[in-house]
Amino acid sequence: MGQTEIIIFIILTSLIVTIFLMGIFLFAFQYRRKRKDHLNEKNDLNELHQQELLSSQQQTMQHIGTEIHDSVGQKLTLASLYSKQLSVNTPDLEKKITSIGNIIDESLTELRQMSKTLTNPELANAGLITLLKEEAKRVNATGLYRLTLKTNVPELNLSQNSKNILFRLLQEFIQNSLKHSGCRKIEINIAIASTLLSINASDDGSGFDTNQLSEGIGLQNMKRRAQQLKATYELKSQQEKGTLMNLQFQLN
Amino acid sequence: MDKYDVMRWISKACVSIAAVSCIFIWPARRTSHWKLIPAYILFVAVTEWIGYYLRIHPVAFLQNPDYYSFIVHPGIFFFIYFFLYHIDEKKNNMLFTGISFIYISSCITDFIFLSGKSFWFMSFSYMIGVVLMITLLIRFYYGFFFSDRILSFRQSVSFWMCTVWFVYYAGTFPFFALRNTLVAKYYSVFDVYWFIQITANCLMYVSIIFIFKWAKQR
Repeated sequence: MGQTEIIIFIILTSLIVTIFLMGIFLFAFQYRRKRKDHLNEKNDLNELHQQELLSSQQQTMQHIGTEIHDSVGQKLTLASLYSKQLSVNTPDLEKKITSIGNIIDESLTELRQMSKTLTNPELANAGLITLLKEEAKRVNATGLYRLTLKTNVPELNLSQNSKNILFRLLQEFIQNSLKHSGCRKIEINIAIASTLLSINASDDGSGFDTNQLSEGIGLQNMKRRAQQLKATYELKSQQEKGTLMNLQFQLN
Repeated sequence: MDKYDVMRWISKACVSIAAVSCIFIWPARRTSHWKLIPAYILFVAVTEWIGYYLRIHPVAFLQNPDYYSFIVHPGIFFFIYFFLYHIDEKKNNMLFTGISFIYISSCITDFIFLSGKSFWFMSFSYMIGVVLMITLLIRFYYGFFFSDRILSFRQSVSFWMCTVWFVYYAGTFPFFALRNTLVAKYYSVFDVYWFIQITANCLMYVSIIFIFKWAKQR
């Protein structure tokens, strides 16, 4: 009898301990599995959200570009034509009309340029290097600035999403340099080491104090786009020493 | 007052503190079924004090073991079954009715056929009640571990309440299953285990205060 009770006691205790251990093991296993699934699901949703965001952004830009080209562009063309048809005998008035015509033509050229940038039909087909080369051509054509592109690869094999984000980010850098820094030279270096894509963009402009200047929409956009790519983003600038942007992005 | 009485007093103090604390916390938790936790703890505290009174002043018609077997334990078990029913995702009425029926039957069996007899275990109905509770707790854990609720286990009142019940009732099950034998033949084992179980009891009620205070509703 005594031995039976000891056996029962041992069996019961072992059973309870086993249930405890199994419970803890199952809990840890399931928790890790669910957490992993949850994170994957979250990442997928985030990626989908980013793609949709980018797609809607592209559509909006396309729409604005088309509207500028088709509506405002046409009206300005018409205004330019009318201004050229005007004939007056007063030389002073004729000079003013010619001046108005010139202003309209300049606006039209700028609008067409803007429309082309917004719609950019090449964005869907061309690679990032090609797009940047085109951008360099456009900037260099002004004769006022020199944009140099250096790379150790002929073209990058990026997803449409990553390519668009990177292109818009670099476009933003170029626009900021041209508009605000008073630079003469812009240099973009693209290099791939193993699966790491490094992009360095710099200008020789006036620079700014990163501690004092509050981030404008342009800088915020650049940072946001880098976050969308999960890239390491760094912007360095000092007054009168130009600006340097460093971006590192892990290729899949 | 011997060492057992000291531990009994500590245990009663813990339950009473838990009851008072939960009553104070209650306004923040009155929107879910967990609002009945103060009632559950208060029931335990009051019955423990009555049990203590009966121990000092025994009355002929109500012996202390019967008082625990037929009043205190059924009250506690039905409170716990009630909570487990409410946290059950499927609200399986048949299961909970069946469990209640089995438990009531075991109490009747205990009262009619086993009263006055001595076995290895402390009380037949208590053992059945604990086995049924452990079954329901394992069922809860199974559903919980395989659902997304596991991701927020830190804030889950259900998870932590079930854990403290499981740790206490499953952990002390071998002790109560062989309590009478341990007292009669292995007193040294009984002595150690008794202190472990009463300490676990104190920790259970103190833990309930923290769970009730900090965890979210579900």
